[in-house]
Amino acid sequence: MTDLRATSASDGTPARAGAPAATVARTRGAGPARWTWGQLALYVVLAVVVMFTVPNPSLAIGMLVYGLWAAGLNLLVGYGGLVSFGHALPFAWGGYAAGLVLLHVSTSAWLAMGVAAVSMGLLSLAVGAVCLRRTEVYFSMLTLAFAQLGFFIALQWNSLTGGDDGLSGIPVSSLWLPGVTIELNALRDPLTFFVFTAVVVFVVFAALILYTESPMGRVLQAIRENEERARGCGYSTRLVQLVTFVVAGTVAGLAGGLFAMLNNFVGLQPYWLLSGVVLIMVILGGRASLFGPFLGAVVYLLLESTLSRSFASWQLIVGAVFVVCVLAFPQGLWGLVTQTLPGLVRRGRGTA
Amino acid sequence: MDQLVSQLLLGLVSGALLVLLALGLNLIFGLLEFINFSHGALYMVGAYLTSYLATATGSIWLALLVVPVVMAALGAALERTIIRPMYGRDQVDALLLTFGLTYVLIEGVRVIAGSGGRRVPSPGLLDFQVDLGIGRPLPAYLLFVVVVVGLVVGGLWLFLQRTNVGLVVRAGIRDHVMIRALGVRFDRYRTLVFAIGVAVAGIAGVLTGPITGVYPEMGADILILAFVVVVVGGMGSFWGAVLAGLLIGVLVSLTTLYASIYAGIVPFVLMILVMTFRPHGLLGAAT
Repeated sequence: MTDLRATSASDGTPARAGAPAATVARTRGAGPARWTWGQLALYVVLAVVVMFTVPNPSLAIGMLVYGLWAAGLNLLVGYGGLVSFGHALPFAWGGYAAGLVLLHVSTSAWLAMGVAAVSMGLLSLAVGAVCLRRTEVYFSMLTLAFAQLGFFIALQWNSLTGGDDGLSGIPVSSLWLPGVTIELNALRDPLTFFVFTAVVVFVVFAALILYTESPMGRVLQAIRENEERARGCGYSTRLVQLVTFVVAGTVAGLAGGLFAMLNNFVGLQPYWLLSGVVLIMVILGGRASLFGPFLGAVVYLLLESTLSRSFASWQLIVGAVFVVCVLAFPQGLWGLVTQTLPGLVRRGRGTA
Repeated sequence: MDQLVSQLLLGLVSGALLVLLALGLNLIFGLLEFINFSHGALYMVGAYLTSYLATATGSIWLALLVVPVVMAALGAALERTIIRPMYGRDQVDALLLTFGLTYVLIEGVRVIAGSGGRRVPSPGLLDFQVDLGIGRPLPAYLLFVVVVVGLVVGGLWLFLQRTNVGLVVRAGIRDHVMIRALGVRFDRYRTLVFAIGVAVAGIAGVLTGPITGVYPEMGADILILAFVVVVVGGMGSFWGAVLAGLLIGVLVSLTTLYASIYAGIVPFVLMILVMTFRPHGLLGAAT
């Protein structure tokens, strides 16, 4: 099986034998490498654009949160070749964890975010240990099953999670900074909340870039290309994948915590229903970089907020766009901008 | 005691439907090497076709004949048009493509038939209760479902083991490079196997309709359970899927009887146990 994988890149019909190789190069070529730390600048630009153009503050903050979540997922999908269909689990867990801390323990934003991220990191260790027993399709199915399991637990454990009703009335969190304590009220003072979220996302985003550029991040990408060979080089491939799973889970937990602080509510809807949505964001934006999923999240939420007003079944359009994306532009929107367009321009110049 | 036996039989019925979906998934994975994420949505489409046909004719008999054929044609068309370009590419892409297809199918059905569910008229001929001697009398239709599933499973097994086409399919599952080198038009077999898998999902849709009615999301939950069945039984194992499907059906049914709040969790606990102690599944071949 695993041996065949290497050849499967060229096992199409002979007539198209050259095409697959080109696709592989296009989706995961040297493109993203040119944009390592530049992605951070791109993020800042995008955040500023969102801040000044998106009229609905809750939507604008949501874009940052979803963007962070999608970027974290792309560690698994794009960099690791591990498609998680259950990334709602860490998001929802983070939401519940932050919500419970704010409700019952303290209204400190730092504590809520810390508990959301750290507890999810620990849980990811256990979930990842099972999901990564086998990779590829097994991984996808197992992550989906775990998310479903979490959903059932959240639904049934009424006394803790509020079951169907969820946890409402989560108090406004307060942010302790040296010298001042700021109230993070997304309704009354959305700008503060936005700036705070943007800064948190900036720091985590930088950490994610650092991770992908670290030796371990490089090994992760090597495993995606050829696991046998990476193992042959002496790397503990499962360990690297597990660490990545924990990192992605921690980031999603943090994003879920932020989302709970933004909405002052945690419940079955929408938290548990977003596994597919976040995956769409990743693919739509492009999985060859960390910035791509961010862009995907912003575009998806823009589409949602504009289309859903005029067209009840707007998800039909999203689904169709997604299928076209996978078929024709596997590199996504950002890949289209960085790789396909420059190629077209160059070709245009060549013929002119 | 009566209750226990009845619940056991009901579990077998729901397990039998899971078996149909899991076998299709397994077969498609074996030959096409990707997990068909749209399997649940295709099952839902089959159930909707049944609902319309049965409303028009008054019973599901015509649907039981027509829907598998229509679904096979739909499967073949999908394979030829949008799945085929995925073969040279990463496995992940085919998975993502069928994931997107799921959205399109579910939302498409919503646009055409509305978000609310539809009912499927009960099959008139089978509208009576059967007393098996044990447990309480069961609706005859449920026994009919078990019989049909048994026939489909047996038919699939005979097709794979006893026909020349099945022989090529099995050989292709083992080593498709060699099969191609021997001059077999392998593309056709892929189309065929995908069509068969979708048709079997369609049959499951037909059979489910009269029991639960049809609604756009009906495929989502059962797909996750079918995944669990495939993992527990062992990926690519024919009888593993059958065994795990029935086992999970019965386990869920019995938990519903004794501790209903855990019923949703049981399959996943079983899956975690199997993955921990027997990662290749109950009957899967160790790699």
